[in-house]
Amino acid sequence: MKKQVSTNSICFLFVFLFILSMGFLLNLRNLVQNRGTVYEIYLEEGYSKAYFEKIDNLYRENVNKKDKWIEMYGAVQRLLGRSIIGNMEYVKNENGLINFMLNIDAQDIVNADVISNDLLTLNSVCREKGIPFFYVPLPLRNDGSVPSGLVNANLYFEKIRKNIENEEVSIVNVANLLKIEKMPLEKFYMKTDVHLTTEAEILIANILAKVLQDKGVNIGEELITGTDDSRYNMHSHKLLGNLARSVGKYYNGVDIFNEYIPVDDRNTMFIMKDLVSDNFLKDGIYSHVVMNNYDDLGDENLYWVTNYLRFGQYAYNIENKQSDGPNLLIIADSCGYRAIAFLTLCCRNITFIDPRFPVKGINAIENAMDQYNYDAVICLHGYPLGDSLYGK
Amino acid sequence: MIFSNMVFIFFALPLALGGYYLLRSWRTAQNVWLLLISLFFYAWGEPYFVLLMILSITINYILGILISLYRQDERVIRIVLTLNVLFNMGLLFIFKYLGFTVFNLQKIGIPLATVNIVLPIGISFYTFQAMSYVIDVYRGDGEVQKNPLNVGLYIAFFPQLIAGPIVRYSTIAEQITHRIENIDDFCVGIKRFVYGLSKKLLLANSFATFADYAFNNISRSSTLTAWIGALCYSFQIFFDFSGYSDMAIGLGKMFGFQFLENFDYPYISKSVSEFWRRWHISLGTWFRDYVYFPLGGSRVDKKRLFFNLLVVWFLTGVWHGANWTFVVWGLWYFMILCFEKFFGYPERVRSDFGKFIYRIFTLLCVVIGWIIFRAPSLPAAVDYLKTMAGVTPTPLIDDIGIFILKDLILLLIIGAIASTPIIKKIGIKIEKKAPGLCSVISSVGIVMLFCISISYSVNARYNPFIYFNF
Repeated sequence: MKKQVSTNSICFLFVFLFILSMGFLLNLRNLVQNRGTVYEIYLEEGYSKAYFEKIDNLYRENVNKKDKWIEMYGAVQRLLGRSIIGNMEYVKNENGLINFMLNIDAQDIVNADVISNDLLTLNSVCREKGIPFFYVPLPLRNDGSVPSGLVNANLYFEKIRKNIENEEVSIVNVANLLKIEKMPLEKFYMKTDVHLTTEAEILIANILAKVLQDKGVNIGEELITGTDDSRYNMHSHKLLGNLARSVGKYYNGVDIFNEYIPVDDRNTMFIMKDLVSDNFLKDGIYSHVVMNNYDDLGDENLYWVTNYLRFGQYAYNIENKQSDGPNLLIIADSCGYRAIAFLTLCCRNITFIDPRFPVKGINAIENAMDQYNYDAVICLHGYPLGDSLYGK
Repeated sequence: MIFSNMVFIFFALPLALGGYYLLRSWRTAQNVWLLLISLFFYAWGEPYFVLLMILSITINYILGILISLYRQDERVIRIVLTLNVLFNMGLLFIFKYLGFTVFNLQKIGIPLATVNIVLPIGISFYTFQAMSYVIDVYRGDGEVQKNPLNVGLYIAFFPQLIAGPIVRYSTIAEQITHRIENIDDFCVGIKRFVYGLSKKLLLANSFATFADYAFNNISRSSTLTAWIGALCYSFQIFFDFSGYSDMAIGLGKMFGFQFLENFDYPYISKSVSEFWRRWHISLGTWFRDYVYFPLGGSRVDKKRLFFNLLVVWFLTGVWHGANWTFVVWGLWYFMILCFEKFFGYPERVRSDFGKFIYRIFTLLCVVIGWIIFRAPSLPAAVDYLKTMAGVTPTPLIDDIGIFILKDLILLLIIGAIASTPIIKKIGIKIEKKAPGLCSVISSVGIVMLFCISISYSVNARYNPFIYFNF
C-alpha cells in the first residue's frame, strides 16, 4: 500500500517539477531576449517599486505560449457560464456579441453634448451651402439582454439623438433598416470584435447609396450589390477580435472575416492625399491604396478590420480616377472603414475624416468644406467620436 | 513579490527549490540560501524597506542574545523585554500609525505637520514574529539563536513573510536547524500550494471584481446588488487570505518546515466565538498568549474580563490598519463576544432550529463585520449597511443585480462548497473505499488546477493579496 502512494507521489512530483522547470527555462529565455527592455525600464524607473512591477508585467506579457494559456482561461470561463469577463471589462449578450462594459464614462456623456452641437453646426453649414447632410448612427450592440447600467453606450447615443432629432437633421435609422433587411445584430456585428462584419459594411454602403439617391445624388450603377462572384473575389479569414483577445477562441468562438476584392481591380486608379499637409500619400489600384495590399500578406499578426484606409490618420482624400460618381465628405470612426472602402469604387472623391485622431490647431471639416464642392456630407457614427467633430 | 505572479511561479520558486536541494547535505548553506531568497523576495516588492527589516532582525537578534546572557538577572531581562516591545511597537507605530495619529490630532485642533509615511508591506506580520522570538526566548519556549542568520531566516522566511501565518518562534525554533524533508511531504506541500494558488486566482480574484463594483457604486446599487457585493467580499477575503496561508504552509513543507494551520473552515462556525477560533488562528493565538493571558485571561471577575476583551479586540482591530473602520470592526466583535460570553450563547440554544438560526446570526455578524472592514470610511460603511437593509431610495431588486447574480451563481456555489469541509470528507470516504484512488484523483486534479491557475495568472493584472496591507 505504502509503495503505491509513493509511486503516485513520484509521478506527481515528476509532472509538477517538469512543468515548473520548463516554465523556468522557457520564460527565462524570453526574459533574456527582452533584456533590452528590462534595461530601458531600469533607466526609466531606477531601482524602485515601479521597476519591479513593470518587470512583473513584462514577464507576464511575454510568458511562453501565452495564447494557449489565454485560451484555457477562456474555456474555463465558458464552462463556468460567465458572461462578465476580465475585471468587468467585457460582457457577452444573449445573442453572443461581446460588449465593452461601462465603456462610456461621464466625460463621454459630456462629449455627447459637444458632438451634438457640432452635428447641428455642420447641418446648418450644409443647409447654407445646399449640400445634403446625413447623420448615420449605427445600432447599439447590446440587444438589451445586458442591463443598460452595465453597458451604457446607449446613454451616449441616446443623448445625441435627443439633442438633434428635432433640429431637422436627416438621421438614417440603421436599426430600423436592419429589421427591414432582416439582418439580426449578430450578423451585423462581429461577436468578438467591436467592428462590423463585412456583410454589414456592404449593407451600410448600400444604405448610404440609397439615401444619397433619394436626395438626388446619383451614385451610379456600379455600386456594390453584395457577394456577386462576377465582381468580387471573396477570401475568408478567421478573426479573433479586439473584444476577445483576453479569452481566446474557445470562449465565444471566432469570427469569419470576408474580404471582397474587385475582379477588375487592375482597371481602377486611386490617389490618396493627406488633407492636413496636402501631401501625396499613395496611388495605385484598389487593393493597394484602399486595402493596403492586405490580401497579399499572411494571416499572422494581421488585424483584419481596421487596416483598411489609414487607421490613426485624421483627414485624407481618396480619388477614383475612373469614376464620375459623387464627391463625398464622410466623417466616421473605424466602424465604417470598409463601407467607405466600398464607396470609393463608385465615387470620384471621398474626403475621410476620423475625429478620434485630431491634429492640434487643424479644423479638417472646415478646411475640406472650403476647399471642395461636396455632393453630400455623411457622419457615420458607431463609436464615441472623441471630444469634438472639429478637432481641438 | 506575489505568490500568484508568473515571476514567482516560474522564476523565484524554481530558483529557490533548485538552490535549496542542491545544497541538501549542508544545512547552514541551505538556511543562508533561504535567507537570501527571502530578502530578494521582499526586496522585489519593497526595494528600500528591506533595510528596515534587516534592522529589525539585527535589533531582535541582539535583544535575544542579551536575554540569554542575563538569564539569571530578572531585572535586566525585564528591561530587555521592555526594550523589545518598545522597539517593535515603535517601528509599527512610526510606519503604520503615526500618519493616522497626526491626522486625528490635527482634526481636534492640534497644529502638527502632516506625516506621509509609506506602509512597508507585511510590517505587522514580521514585527509580531520578531516580538515572538524575543518573548519566547525570555519565556524559555525556544532556544536563543547564536547565529544571526537563523534569526533572519525565522523573521524573513519568504513563505509567511508578508501575509502570515504569524509563525511563533516556539513552533519552529527546532526546525530552523533540525528539519526533515521528504518526497511525501514535498508532494503534500505542492498540493497545498496549488490549492492556495487556485483559491486566490480562481475564486478570490473573481469575487473581488464584483465586491469592488458593489462597494464603488453603492450610491446607485440596489439592495440585491449590495448583498451580492457583501457575499462576494466575504468569499473574497476568505479565499484570498486562506489561499495565501495555504500557499505559505505548502511552501514551508516543500522546504521541510511545518507551520501551524491558520484557517479551519470559519464560515461553518456555530457562533462568533467559534468563528474566531477558526479564522486567522495565528493572530488569535498570538493575542491570546501574548496579551490576553498576561492580562489575566478569562479567570478574572466580570469587570476585568470585560476590560481584557476590550483591550484584545481593540488591538485586533487596530492591528489590521490605521483607520477608524478597523477600530469599529474590532469593537463590533468585542460587543458580540461579550454578548456570547456574558449571556451564555450559543450554549443556551437547545433546539436544532434555534441552532440553525444562531448559525445564520453568526454569518450575518461576520458579513456585517466585513462591510465595516472593507468600507473606505465609517459613513461609507453605514451607507452600505443601509442599502443592504433596504432603507435607501435605491430599489430592492434591479436588472443589474439579477444579471450579476445569474453570472455569479455557479461561482457562488463553488465558493460555498469550498468554504466547507465537504470535499475533504468526500475524499476521506473515497480513500476508505478505494485506497489510493483518492490520491491519484487529487494528483490529477491538482495538476489541472495548477494549469488553470496559471492561465488566470497570465490574464491577471497586478493584484496583491488583501492582507499585504496589514
